[in-house]
Amino acid sequence: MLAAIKMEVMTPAKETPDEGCIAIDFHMPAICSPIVRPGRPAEAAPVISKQLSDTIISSGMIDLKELSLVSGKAAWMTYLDIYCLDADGALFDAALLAAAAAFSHLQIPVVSLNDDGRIVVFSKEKEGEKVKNKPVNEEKRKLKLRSIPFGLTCIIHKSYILADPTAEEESIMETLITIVLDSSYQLVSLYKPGGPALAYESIIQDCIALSRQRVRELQTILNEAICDMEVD
Amino acid sequence: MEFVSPEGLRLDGRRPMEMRQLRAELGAVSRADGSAIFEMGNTKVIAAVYGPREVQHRGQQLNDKALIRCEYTMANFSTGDRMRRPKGDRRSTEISLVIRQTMEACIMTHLMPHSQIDIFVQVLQADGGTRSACINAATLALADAGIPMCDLVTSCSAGYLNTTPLLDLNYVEDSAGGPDVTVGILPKLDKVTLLQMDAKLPMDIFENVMQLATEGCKAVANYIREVLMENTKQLENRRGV
Repeated sequence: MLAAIKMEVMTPAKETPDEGCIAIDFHMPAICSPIVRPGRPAEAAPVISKQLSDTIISSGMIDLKELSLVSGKAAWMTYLDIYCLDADGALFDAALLAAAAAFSHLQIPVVSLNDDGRIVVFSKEKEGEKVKNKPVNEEKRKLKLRSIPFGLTCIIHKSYILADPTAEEESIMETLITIVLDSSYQLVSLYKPGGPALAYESIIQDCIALSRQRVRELQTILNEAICDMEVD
Repeated sequence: MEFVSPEGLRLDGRRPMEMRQLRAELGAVSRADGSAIFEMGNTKVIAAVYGPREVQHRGQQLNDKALIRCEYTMANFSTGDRMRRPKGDRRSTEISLVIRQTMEACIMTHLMPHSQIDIFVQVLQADGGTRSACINAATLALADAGIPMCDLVTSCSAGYLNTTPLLDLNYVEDSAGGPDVTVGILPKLDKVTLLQMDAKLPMDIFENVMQLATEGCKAVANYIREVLMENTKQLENRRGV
């Protein structure tokens, strides 16, 4: 997965003058899998897009008030685009991890409000000229992420639970369950989109236990990656 | 605006005859039959090849050769401002056609009748020369897929600004409005498959610029050959030869 964030300035909505906005989009280009054809986009793409959007916004990972610039006049519109480069099962989990990593890496640039009331990039290289426009924020800052959600997809086949399926396993599955927990092990989302297999409560409990382990593993990996990046 | 300083340095510190740094990686997409990532400076492109496989539209099937299909798309975030319509716009369709015709010149399609070869190219970061990077990436991906070709196809662009021929233009130099010559060659056979130019250029200067671009293509070809040799050695090691 390749996730990238682009930010644009917009005027905030009247009901929420202090909040920015996030738009999340998931794409499956034709390179990722032999089943995706140029004329016909993959069915899974809009489904995962919606799932991701709901999960990230409802988990409260990002405080939209941090995306505000000038109350009522300007706020950040954040576009998160996730491109699947190689589709081999459990796309939602990978996409969620990519989104969390992208937001951890995000640095909001320094901007200032110029005389026409427009936001411009703040440049410090003005020799001799008085700096008329005060920057809205002093330095490039990172977003404060509250609780990061991590997901685990399991498939149920006969009486077995297979965690983190590959594309081959997904093609023969009867039912899949996706469980999203946040870093304090609270359940953020549970997704079981029908299917012929009925999941007994015990199976769901087992899946939740597997997810707990997964959250620990993913958290270590994400923290290591963030540390490596900060060293650079 | 000055693109070449009096000392002979360009905006990014290169000399006029210097190419950007090349980097290539094979086998990036495990689901594809062949794939490659190719970088020319800041321009980053990923190509995947699926085929030869069953033709999807029976009506288009060719009885004596393989059908080649190519699609060029740019990621939303690849350019400076986020793009709204990365697919289906005129530029993408034109470049898809250009890449398809360029690759058709070198793939031995008569060896694979009744089949289809799909080449998909995705631009991840665009900084000028995306057309060339896509053709180079497609060549590597086809080699990774083991599709028979009569020669590699390599491509490079060159321009002419401030009365100096410049090799491998980046985005700023490309949008300066000067001429932009893109050349695609088959290096061993020394034949030109692709030649595109826009803006005006006197004939004698054009010859210089085209010669420069051809030199650039040969340099890319050397690099691609090294990468493929390295890859073959690794495959040999894995097989225990």
